[in-house]
Amino acid sequence: MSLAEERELLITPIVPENVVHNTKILENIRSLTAPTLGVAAGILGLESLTGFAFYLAGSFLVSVLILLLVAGGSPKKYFRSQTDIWTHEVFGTTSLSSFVLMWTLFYNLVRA
Amino acid sequence: MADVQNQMILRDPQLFYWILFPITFVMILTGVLRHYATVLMQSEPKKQDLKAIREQRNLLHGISLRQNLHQLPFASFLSRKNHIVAAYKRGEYLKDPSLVGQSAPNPMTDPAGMDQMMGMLKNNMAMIVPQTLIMGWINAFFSGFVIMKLPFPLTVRFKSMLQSGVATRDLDVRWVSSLSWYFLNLFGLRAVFNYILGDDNSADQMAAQMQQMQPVAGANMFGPGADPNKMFLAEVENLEVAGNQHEWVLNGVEDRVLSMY
Amino acid sequence: MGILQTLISYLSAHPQPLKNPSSSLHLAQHAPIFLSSSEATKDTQETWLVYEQLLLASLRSGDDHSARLCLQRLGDRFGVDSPRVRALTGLYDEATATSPSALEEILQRYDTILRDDPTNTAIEKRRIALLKSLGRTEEAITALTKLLQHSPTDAEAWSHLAALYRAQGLYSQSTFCLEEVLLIHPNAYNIHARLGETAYIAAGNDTEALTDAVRYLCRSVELCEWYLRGRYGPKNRGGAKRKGD
Repeated sequence: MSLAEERELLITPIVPENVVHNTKILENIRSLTAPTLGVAAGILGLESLTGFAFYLAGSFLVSVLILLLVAGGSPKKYFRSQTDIWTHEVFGTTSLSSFVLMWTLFYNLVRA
Repeated sequence: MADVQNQMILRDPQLFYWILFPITFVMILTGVLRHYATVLMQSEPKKQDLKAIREQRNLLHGISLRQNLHQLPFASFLSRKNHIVAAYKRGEYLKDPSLVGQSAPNPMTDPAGMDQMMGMLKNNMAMIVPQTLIMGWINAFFSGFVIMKLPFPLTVRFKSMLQSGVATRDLDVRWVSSLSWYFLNLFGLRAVFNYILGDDNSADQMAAQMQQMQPVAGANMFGPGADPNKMFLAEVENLEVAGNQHEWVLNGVEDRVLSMY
Repeated sequence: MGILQTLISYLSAHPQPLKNPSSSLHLAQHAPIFLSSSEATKDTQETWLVYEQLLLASLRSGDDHSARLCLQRLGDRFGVDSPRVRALTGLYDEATATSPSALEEILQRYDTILRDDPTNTAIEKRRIALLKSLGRTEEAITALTKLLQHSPTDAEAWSHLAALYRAQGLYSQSTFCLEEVLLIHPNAYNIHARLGETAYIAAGNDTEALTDAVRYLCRSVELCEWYLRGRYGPKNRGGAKRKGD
């Protein structure tokens, strides 16, 4: 870290527990919405690329909602980098794989 | 060439009730069981004698001096640094001064090391055994047929892995056997475990694997194979280096506070 | 909601009930109800934490009977020799002791325990607290320094020592201890405020030291905007500094 950044960090320190707490909340929300998106995709009978596009659109919607409702419109207060809300855990194994799991399950159930 | 457009295979809906759901159910249950088994199997933290505690904590003290040195005025930091450096060089806090210069204790013979390795071994066992059992069970009962269609296409190379029991050439890769359902569950159920068991649960195999790859620095500092004297001397060097860049955080604080208003 | 749930939610809303007389009274009033209910026998981690808090709250509000019951149950569950239970037993005995000689006896007991097992930090701390309440401050200071030699990462002990030194008027030592606490918790704005106050008292009329005092207080405001003690400091000290100029 350069000296200027170190100074910055000294003066306005980042409390690690709070960062962890915020990230956990993000992860929780995503782990709940990803399977739901999967169920929706499966019931709609979406195939390959359409399905993934649906997932991306859904995650985007979820990020917008997080921004408005949870972070109160000012993500800078809660997260170090601005893009954390949008990209954290979207492609991570937890949410993506649960999406695929639910999608496959309901695709098969509904389509027979 | 078979029709790759849209291969449809009619399947008995009973397939789902008897195969898909049971596999998922069993995996969730084993995950929960594994979590509680790990919790129960954890051995008590070993009691350490006074000298060992003293050694560890004084080293931590030196480290926190180095990390937070900017909070103190320069004179206090300097006096503390000199005191600590002198003490470390003297080997004042060592648990067993006669060990200086000898090589680090072999993890096999050192009893503290044994405990730690046993703990790691137990955790690994708890992960591997249920996995192997379930895979064997699936191969025994649910092999030889395809069960479902993946909603997305994959390359041909996956065919041998995912259609394990069925030896056809033309069947679309999207039709898979129950083993691949097992794999899907393995990855996808992490979210469910996070939900029912709370974070930080032991049913999460992937998180455990990632943890193993990036060992937590603090926990292993005093584990087997660590030579305390070397660590003290290393800390001395770190302190000397860090001391050259001291900048009291209170310099200019009044201006900053005034500019807040 | 069962009584256990109520208590747990109350404790999570007020994590340090003993700081506040009203919250400790509130807890103590619930103690007899809880103890006679069937939920008191549930063996979860939270139950025992609730027990500990109830014990402390009942001692605080004078309900010795409930305290005795809590202590008994804790002892039955964890064994009377567990370090934590021993410390709580010591606490109970100190609180209900009737004469200084009883307190002396308790002190002897602590000494024996520590001789057998020098790593029992809970008992060490109880012993120091007992010395303090007996008024033997120098011995308490010695005992604290001994504890800090083998556990220099214990912020609570350092701040205790700082308070003791301050009471004795040894301000430079007190500042030293508070700085040690800062090393462990660099963002503790209340410690910065304390340092500012101590520096102010120690300064007298020395402008250089007064500047330092103001700086510490400013830092505590910077770290936490709503900390009242930090705010009141610069206002007061700023005035004193101008007079000293």
